[in-house]
Amino acid sequence: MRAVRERDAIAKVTGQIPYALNVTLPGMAHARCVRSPYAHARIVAVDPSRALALPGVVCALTRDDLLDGQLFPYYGAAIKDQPIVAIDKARHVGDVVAAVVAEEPEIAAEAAALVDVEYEELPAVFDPVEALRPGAPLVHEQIVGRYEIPPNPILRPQNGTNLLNHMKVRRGDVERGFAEADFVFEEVYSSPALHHCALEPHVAVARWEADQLTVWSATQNPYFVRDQLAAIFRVPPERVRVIVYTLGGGYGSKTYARMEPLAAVLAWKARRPVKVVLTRAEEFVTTTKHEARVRIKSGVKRDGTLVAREVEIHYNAGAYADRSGTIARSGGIGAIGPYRIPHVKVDAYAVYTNRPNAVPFRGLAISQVAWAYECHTDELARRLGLDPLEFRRRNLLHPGDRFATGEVLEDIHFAELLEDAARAIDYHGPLPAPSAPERVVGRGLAVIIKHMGSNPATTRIDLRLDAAGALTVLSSTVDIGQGARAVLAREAARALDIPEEVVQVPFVETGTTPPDQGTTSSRSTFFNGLALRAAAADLRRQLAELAARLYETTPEQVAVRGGRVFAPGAPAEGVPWGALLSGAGVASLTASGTFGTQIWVDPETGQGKASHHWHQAAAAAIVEVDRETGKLYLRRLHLATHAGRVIDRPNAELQNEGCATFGLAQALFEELLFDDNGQVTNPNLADYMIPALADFPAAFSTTLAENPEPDPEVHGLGETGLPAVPPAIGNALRDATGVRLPRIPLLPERVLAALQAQGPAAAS
Amino acid sequence: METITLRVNGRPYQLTVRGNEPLLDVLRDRLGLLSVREGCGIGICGACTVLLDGRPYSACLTLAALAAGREILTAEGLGTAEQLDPVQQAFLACTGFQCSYCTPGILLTAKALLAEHPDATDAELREYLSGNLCRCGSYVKIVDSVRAAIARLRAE
Repeated sequence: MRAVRERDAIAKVTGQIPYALNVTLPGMAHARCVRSPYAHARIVAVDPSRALALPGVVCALTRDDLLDGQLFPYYGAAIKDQPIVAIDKARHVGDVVAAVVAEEPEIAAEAAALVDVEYEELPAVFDPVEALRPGAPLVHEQIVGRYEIPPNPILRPQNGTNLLNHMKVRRGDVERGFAEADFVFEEVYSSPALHHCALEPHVAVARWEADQLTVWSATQNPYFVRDQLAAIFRVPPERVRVIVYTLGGGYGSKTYARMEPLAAVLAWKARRPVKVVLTRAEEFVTTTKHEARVRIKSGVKRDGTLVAREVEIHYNAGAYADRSGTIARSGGIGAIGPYRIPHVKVDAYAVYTNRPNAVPFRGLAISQVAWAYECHTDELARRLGLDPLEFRRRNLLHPGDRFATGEVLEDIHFAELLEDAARAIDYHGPLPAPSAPERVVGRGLAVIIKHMGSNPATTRIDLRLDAAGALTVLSSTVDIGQGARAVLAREAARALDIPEEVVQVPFVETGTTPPDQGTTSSRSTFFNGLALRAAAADLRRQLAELAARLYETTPEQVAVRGGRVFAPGAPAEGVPWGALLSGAGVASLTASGTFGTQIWVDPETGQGKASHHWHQAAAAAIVEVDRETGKLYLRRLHLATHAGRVIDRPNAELQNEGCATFGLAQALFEELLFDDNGQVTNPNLADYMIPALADFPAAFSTTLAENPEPDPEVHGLGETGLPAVPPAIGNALRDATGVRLPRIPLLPERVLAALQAQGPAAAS
Repeated sequence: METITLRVNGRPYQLTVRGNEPLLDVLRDRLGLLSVREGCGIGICGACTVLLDGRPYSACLTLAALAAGREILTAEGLGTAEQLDPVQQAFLACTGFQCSYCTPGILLTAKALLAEHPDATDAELREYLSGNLCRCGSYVKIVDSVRAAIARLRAE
């Protein structure tokens, strides 16, 4: 018998691991969306008659199907502002206006082009700062009173504006801080929209059987999808079943509901199973990362002590709210960085625009602000004539310090992580020689803090032991490639002191696997570990009670270890659990464990407890810059994260390696481009660059820092390292050339232009 | 439409295909070889890589009709759970994957590299595998895996 880890690994290297993309059902038809060519347009008329006349077309879905009251037409991760197909307006280029179902995908594609839509083009707004100005075109004319909004004190959209949320952090008196400072310095940094680009596209397959809906989806949030679907069809959630296999990548793009509502409604209308698979080009207008502009101002004493920091962030949310309210909240809270600063003022805005939907993206909310605060902190040190490492040392948060939220932080290791990163690149040693005369070399550091699991959250895990002795872990955590199933099996085996090989982990199926908030926010390994521990304690208790009954003793007299029970009157070598169940005539035992966190911050001040614990990372980079071409070569990269306790070393390292890969690509070349009409101009992998092996530095290393005490708290690693990487590279560019670029990616033409602007005399 | 014979993983299949039908669709949708996966659809990402007479091709850009008469290898033909190919064993030992959507294509490219350049240096290895994109960013362990496979080949 093999452990889940090895079984899944074998299925992966033989190409046999299942994905939603593989699902094929008898009688299944295929869908294609009709998408808006305009960024903002009133929909005058939708006429599918030419499409319906095409042989092989099953049906078409238009707004008319949503307006007779049978269905609730909207969905959304928080504010339900996204219609299944556009009702009154199209709000971005690529917005879904209608959909067709046909026998074959090719026919559906042909038919989609035959749906006649009459548009009345409206003025559009693309920039989040412009979108907040009075008189800007409104993406949604009314939000409050029109859309369903969950009762959430930190989500406060404003009617008559494009403001989706405004998060404030107020601590001390920032103006007094600036007045007390010897040096005040302000900069603006920005980062572009990106696309997640999971190689498996968004896929959903829906089937109705009588009044039961089953949806196979590549989603990171199965229970959330279930509840959204139930609301659309106005049925109890139990009538909807969501099945999730392995995801072919997610990185945030497969969070909440994406194509499931459309697939389910199409299957309902077609009266047969329907599969929705997005094309690569559609992917680029379905999920993006928040473009952001960050204005950051710091006050510092002559001795290098930070006394005040003011940050203003504009996150471009795109056309629908999705999780942008939370992004403003989390970005606002994390915006000052891992520093001890007495006077803080942060305003984080999430703003509707006519861009495609911006959704959670690995490094959620923090990569945008970390790019700003870590470049700014570095620049501040250099302007003061201080070494950037030494400047950070003087201001970093240490255990017992208060963060911007007022909470006292413990279990924080920023200093150790930063020193580790500096050591890895021999920060105080001589720089490596450039490989050509026109090149210069430099090094940079960055250190970041990131929240975990941004809402009060609960996870439940069930353990089922059967009379054959097999232990099944029931969890709704999704394997996105991080090895979640393997970790569940390993942690269950650890909690129960049994071999990993006897543990089974079935795929996620709502109704069977227990409720879970979702596989997001680098939260799963931590939450699951503690829920599993509670479930294991419950199972041990049940086993002890069963043994006590069978051997006529008390549970306190029973020992449960190594897959056996030991009790007075029982065989001395112990009774295997399976034999105990058989002997007692019990078919199975089911134990349950839950773990939850309660966090809350005041939206007016940001004061409270913002995260159960904090993710921590530091990065160090050495770059070589060609002064003639502006091209930047990443020679050395190190990424250190705080892991607490490592459960599966190769998979933990892979999370850091993945974060490094994402981070260096964001620093060097990734950027979603738009024309003046809001159309994505690089919606394919020839023009939108994702990193290849050749882009990854041969000299890479990583540290997974563990706490020495017994049984330390596990920290998630999925996103932790990413935000530290781009500023480490940007700071290395500054070190090498004297050029400070405020916007990523650090494209050769931008670097070259900045070098030329310096003039010939001003080398580093 | 034309009738062709494709030799896939050592077995012949007689099929009627459209002239413009990509090999990817035939392998995946008609022969049920689910290790062959579309990523970009334009021959950039390498997820749909298969070997034709031992050399890597993007199945999304290869017309099925033009693959007739050639020996086609997919991950299904590389090895099975019971009998893994040494390249698969190396990826298993080094955890050279995450979501594994790209893995079959990478395994086949690595297989071709080993046949073509059994003495590949690290630089050659990195260059050769740069046509296979792993969005999860597993490159460190992909390199480790291929190095391990090369070392094993040398030891034999």
